[in-house]
Amino acid sequence: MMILHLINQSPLQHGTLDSCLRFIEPEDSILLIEDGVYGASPHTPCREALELASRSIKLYALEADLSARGLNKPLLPCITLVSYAEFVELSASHDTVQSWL
Amino acid sequence: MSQPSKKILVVNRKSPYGSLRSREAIDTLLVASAYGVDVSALYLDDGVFQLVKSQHPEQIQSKNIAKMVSAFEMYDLKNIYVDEQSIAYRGLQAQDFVTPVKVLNTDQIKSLLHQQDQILSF
Repeated sequence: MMILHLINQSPLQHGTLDSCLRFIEPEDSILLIEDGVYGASPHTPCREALELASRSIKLYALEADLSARGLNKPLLPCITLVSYAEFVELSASHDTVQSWL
Repeated sequence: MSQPSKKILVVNRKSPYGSLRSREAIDTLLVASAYGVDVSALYLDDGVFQLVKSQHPEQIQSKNIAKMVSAFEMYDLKNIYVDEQSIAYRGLQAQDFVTPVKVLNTDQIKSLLHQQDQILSF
């Protein structure tokens, strides 16, 4: 059972990413969208948790949301950028989608 | 009309595109400044992301918050304060911002808050 976890809240101000990370399984993926993309910045306290998670699961971030927020600088290397079309493909390739609102 | 203008502080704690709060705060600041009110802005927590350079929100169909912030100087809005701790936590520095800011420590923010007649939170 592969789950795509969506994080749309800033991990710097909400506990959604931390909650999500407690429940992930090796087949799962996490996609950062909307304010969730702030977690992809390399100089925040989220770094350690995301790097640890990336050893077992895949991490993605929506490119349009990063670009909107001026986050074009080097991001965490463990995160793969995706387009809207790839977002759709990810949703289709996983069994379910869990939005951590 | 001879009464001295009240000191108003607009406190921004939310990211630029997650909600409409950033837009509402900017509207408030511009209107207050246009009417000659003694208004300042304080950016705390994720609010500091509103000031970051090179925002390109076209793909998410939003207006560019950074562009509006960069007009502050033209509107004579010069008292723009940011919390030192909030920017350090997010790996940011004053030169990452589109407008000149004054970086304040916790004690300075305490006294800024306590100098105001009115505080508006967004």
